[in-house]
Amino acid sequence: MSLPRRFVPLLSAFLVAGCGHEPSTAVAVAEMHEGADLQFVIPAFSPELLMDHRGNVSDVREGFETAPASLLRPGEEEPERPDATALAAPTIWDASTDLTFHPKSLEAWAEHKYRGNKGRVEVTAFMREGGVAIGNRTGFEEGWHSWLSPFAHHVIANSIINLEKDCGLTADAQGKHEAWWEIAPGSGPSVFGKVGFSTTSGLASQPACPPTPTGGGGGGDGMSGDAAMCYIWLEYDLDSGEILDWQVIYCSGGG
Amino acid sequence: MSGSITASVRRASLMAVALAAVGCGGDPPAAGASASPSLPACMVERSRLVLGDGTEVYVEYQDVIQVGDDLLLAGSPSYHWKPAPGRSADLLSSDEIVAAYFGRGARTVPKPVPGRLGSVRAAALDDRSWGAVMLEVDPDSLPGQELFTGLWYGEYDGARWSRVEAMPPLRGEIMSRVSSALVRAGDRMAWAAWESPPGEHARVRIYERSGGAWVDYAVPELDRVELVELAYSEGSGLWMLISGYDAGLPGFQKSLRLYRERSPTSAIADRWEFVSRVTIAEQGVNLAFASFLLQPGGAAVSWAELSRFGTRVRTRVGIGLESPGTVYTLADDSDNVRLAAMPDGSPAWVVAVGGAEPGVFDLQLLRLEGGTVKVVASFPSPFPMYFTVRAVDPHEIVVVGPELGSDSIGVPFRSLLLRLSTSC
Repeated sequence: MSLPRRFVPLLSAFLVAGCGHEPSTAVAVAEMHEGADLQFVIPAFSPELLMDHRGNVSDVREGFETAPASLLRPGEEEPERPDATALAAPTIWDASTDLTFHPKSLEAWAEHKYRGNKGRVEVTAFMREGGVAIGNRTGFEEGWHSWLSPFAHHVIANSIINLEKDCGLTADAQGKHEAWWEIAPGSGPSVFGKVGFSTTSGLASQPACPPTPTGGGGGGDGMSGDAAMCYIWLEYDLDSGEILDWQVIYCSGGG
Repeated sequence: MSGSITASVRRASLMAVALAAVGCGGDPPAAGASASPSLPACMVERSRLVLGDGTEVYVEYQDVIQVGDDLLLAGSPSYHWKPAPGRSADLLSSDEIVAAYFGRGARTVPKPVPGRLGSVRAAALDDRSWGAVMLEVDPDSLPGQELFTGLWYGEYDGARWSRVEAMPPLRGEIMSRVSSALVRAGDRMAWAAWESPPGEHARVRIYERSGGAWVDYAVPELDRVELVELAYSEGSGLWMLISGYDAGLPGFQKSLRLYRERSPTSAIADRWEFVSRVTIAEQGVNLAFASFLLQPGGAAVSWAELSRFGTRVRTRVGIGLESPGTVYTLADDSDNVRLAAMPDGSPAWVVAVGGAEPGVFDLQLLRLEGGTVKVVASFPSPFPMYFTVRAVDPHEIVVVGPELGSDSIGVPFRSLLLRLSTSC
């Protein structure tokens, strides 16, 4: 399962002044949120609805519950006891943490699929400049489901850091993934069978920033007087460094 | 592969009849033991955690250890139920028990500190006493979002808590389920925790108790840690298993790797030496639920590989300072493996794999025979989730986990012990 070479994204960079456009690879995470619902939902249950332990992606019905037969408050009515034969194994899978730079922002997200009736994910994005940590931000999301819901669930959280520039920053992210069982028998909620682990993203980098022009007056940066600064789009292979394509975007300054 | 499993199961079924006829299984079933004559092949005992007064107990399956002749289950949370036929059981207490002894003298051990415990990790000290690290969390914390409030170490002498002392605190965020076992390392006790200080990546903090005092330190140059585990053996010393970002690899890759403590007196900056890279996470693969043990033949590590394309559990055995060991795939379509150290120095595994019916899965007991992974036993799992294992004699492994209530006495869940024979 080694990484196919063609999967390596080509790094697009602006040479000299690489502070331009960063292709947007934002994911639509908002519609995948599963907010906490503190009411018990006891669905109509059919053994045929049980899903495979392997939890293939196609089996997952994200954000979907079976039609609720009733809504109960803890203590209002005796909740249905779990049936060992009716519950698939709780677990966490497809756990990942990833991030991407957008123009003037960084978005990090962590997600996992789980079985169990509660799951939680937390993601923290870490921002660095010149190797020095300059900030971080955390987001989390939690899912609550019926005891007898036979489906696998999905929970995703994101964290967005607004940026003032589009160059010179690096970032990575850390996700915390957890799932557990929680029920409310007559005497209050019970939590058990908790599992958890963390994941970390890869490293994301903005293009390097251009040298800062010092303006006229013969400042020794080689950019004053008749010198021109050209902005060049450069595409090269991340592994080999081979330049695949380049073009001048525009030049400024000079006589 | 499936053919050999089927054959093995058939053989095992025949053996079960023989075992029943001669009463194989050592001690007679203890209180709470299922008297069912139809135990699956190679299962010599199936016992619920039932006290002498008929009440039932659940203790989270964080550790099962042997203390003398007793088998002790330790963990948090815990629940104590009084069965109530025809209705929901009465909950007598929750989170008041930190451990319970299985067997004929089944009894519970109350927690020695008043707060809510998010984790309890225990280790035997001698034939009667055991010690435990207890991670206290804010009682208003949501499960899965624990806020650290305290860390305690206690010693239980078989009848009472003989010692309870505060440990130095963890820093920043914690994950109560991501910490190592508590291990006896010669005359020291050692424990490793996952912590994420504010604004920093997750790292490992090592705790050592020596001469009656605790010392702790963050392991330098290890960050973006996803998992930590410790193991010790007299011959090999203290070893640490780390999962997460690997600064020794090009790019930004993650791995599962082993370190060894040079000496307890080494400078902290130089205390851990890299031993072996157990596996490197391929793109899109997360390494999770790893465990390891040290035996005379080297270290054995087991782990789950989780990806969008499926899951599998693998192991590497025979890892030494000069030997990378050998990798085996234990099961596909499984993310659930537990490793046990048999007294003869060999490893054994219990894995949960997808069963024949949707929503049901099987537990398989695996051994290495002649360089091949063999299925010793396979039967439908009574656990709806994870479990823990422990070798208790040269030919037996116990598996402990939760059993959900499916009978008429109203107990939602309780701890269940399975005793498996490895020589059936």
